[in-house]
Amino acid sequence: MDATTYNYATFDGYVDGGHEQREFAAWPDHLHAGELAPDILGTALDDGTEVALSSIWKRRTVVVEFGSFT
Amino acid sequence: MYTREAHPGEHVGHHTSFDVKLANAALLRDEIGIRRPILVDDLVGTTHRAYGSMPNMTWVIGRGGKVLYRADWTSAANVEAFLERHERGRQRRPPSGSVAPYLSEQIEYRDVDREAFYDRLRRNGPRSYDEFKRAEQLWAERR
Repeated sequence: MDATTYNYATFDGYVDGGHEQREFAAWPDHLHAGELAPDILGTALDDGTEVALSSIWKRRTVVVEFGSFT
Repeated sequence: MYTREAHPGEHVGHHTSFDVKLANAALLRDEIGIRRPILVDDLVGTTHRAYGSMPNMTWVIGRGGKVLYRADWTSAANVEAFLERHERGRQRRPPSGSVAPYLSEQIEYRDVDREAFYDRLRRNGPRSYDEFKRAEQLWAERR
């Protein structure tokens, strides 16, 4: 998926295009409890460093909440 | 983990660059007063998509990387209760205790305050509210 499609400009366009339906339909069959979590990178907002989630879960249980301003 | 904007508007728009995404994440941190560490996903949502693309989901991952909990909506109370139960169980594992793990899945209910939600959409910009109302019509037509 490219950046333009992922970062939809309008919410009704996202719904009208069927993207929201496809994503919500895929959720029940997605990664489940008991499975290994994908290790991925994020940029720390405070200092710009790249952080691998695995570097956190190596040390302790981690809670990851996803969201945005809007 | 900061994702794409779910309901972009004139005031807080969709991400056209990683710098815009960082600026919106900083706005969230500063306006809401978030003190937890915020990681920002890349511009194409690699992390968000790897974890299922839900707009406000929560995951708990145990030491070693095993998924312990997933929810397609964040309930702080539910997450907190789960963490307490899980830790209590973990401390009672063999050989000192006698517990065994099991998998469960539930459908939960959350409070919905439509007017407060609409107010937040207007904070994003007027078109954010208008687009959501249009989406509600689309959902009604599908039923």
